[in-house]
Amino acid sequence: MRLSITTTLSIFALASSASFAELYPMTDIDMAKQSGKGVIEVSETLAGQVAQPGGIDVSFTRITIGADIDINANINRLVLGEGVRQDGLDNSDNTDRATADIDFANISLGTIDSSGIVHDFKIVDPYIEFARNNTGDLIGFRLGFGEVNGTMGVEIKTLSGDVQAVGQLSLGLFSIDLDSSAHNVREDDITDDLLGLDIDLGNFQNMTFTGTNNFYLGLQSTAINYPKLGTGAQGTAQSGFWLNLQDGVTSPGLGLDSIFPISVSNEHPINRFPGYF
Amino acid sequence: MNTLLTVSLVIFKIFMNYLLSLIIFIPLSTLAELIPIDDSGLSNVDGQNGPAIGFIWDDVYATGENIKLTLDFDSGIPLVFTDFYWVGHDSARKGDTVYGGNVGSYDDPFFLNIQEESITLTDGENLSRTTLVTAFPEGTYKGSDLDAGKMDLGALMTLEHASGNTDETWLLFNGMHLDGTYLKSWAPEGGGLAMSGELNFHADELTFQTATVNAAPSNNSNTAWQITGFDLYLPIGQTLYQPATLTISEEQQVIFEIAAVNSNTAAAFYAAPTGSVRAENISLNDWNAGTSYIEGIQLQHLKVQTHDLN
Repeated sequence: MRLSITTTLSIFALASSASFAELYPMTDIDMAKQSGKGVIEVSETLAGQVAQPGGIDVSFTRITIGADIDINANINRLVLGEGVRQDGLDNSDNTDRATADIDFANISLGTIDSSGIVHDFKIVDPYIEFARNNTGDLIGFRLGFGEVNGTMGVEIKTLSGDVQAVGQLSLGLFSIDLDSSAHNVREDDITDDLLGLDIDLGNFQNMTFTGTNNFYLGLQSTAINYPKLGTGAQGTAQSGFWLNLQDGVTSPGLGLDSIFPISVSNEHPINRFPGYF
Repeated sequence: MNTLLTVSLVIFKIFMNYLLSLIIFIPLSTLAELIPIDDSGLSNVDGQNGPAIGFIWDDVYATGENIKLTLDFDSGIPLVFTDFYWVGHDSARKGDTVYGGNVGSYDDPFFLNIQEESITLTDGENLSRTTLVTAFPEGTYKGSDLDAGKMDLGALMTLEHASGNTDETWLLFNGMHLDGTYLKSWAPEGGGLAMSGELNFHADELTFQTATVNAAPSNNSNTAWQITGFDLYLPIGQTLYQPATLTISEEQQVIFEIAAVNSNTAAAFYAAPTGSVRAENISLNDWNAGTSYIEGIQLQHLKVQTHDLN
């Protein structure tokens, strides 16, 4: 491994003269001797290796950061892709459709229990992956995670994406299975497989992820099948913003972990200290 | 078959330092035209709180002629970063004539100072801390005889794919400023670096533009992911009750952590400003994805620790 670099100074050295007693500059020769720490991985999937809608050729370049991320956070609102869609799959075409591809409110990652203990949402090996067609055009990219574990609270107002879940809502035990198709664009409800009920996605207040390895958020100019990580399910990402929530989210206590990968309920998890809601 | 490339932790750290150094130090090499401030001028510079050193970068520009970073992997596929530039807003790019821009002004300089803060927590505990503050001007940048107040920043990366094609990728920040961004730092017990700060970033336009060279059938096709009207505000820790720390583990891995909120610090934490991101318009080639935004970001705890892949 060879490294050519012309600049070795650090912002941290500038930032705190009181704290860099243990820092010392490395020469280019010393730097060139460093190897064996694989924190960043660049991988390629060549055209033809993943079958694509319409038979187009798509190649992928994925940059993965080797990192364990423990996070506890709250987000008031997440809105992606607000405005008119060029494919007409918006409220100009169907007044039932929402005005954004993804619209989530009151997102919480992790929980705080009654004893004030902070429980993190855990992410392993985040990556960004770029998709190109056979002329080299960038036609999509996604931000994903090698694995996620923990509890996410959310009020889903609109979803463009895939969800496969089992949950026990106020209606009782039922399964939820949303397959991947254009019909999943800007939806605010889905149809329950078993009972045929229309379920408002706002009921997805509490999702528990266990070993999920196909959790990603993408933006595409055309429908794309991304390379699949792990064993979980993954459908076709449609144009616009797309969230894949199909894989590896277990359902503790229901004994259905191996069948249905997502556990949901309509009780939003608590992720604030008492008195600060 | 995937081609796996591995970059060392050391290279990662160097690279991050490199990018940060690029921002901080490259202009220092271009200070030939700095004009000294007389006593009268200095007395008008009040920093933020207490004594400070105020300075500006005058007629700054840097282009890629002097800067090159090559990551040469064992697989023989090099990733080359080159043609960095930092110029006055709306200066010509990609080898054309460039014009310098100023960062800060006598009225509103970049500054360094020492600041002391204190707070009383819910249980009555008093905390105080003295930090070194490094801050961008809170006013606007002063571009020289161009679109005043903003700068352009860019870098060119090339990556040779296993297919034999070479991608050239421009990462462009046009019309950017970092008004109000600051970093407070101090030396915590136990070593490492402790910090807090706020990132306040604006760009009129962010462009991720690629050109595939030698790709059949259409050579040099240009594609772009473009964001216009981008704004990011993100508090990073808090000096007194939620410090962020940067340390290196015994395994030579990087650990960045923002301390967890607790019942004693919750009142101050929830009263503090929250983070936000907004992009007025996002486009990916011919697909217009409209407006996107994230509001009310509160990090109650964050720990990032690198590890070796494979």
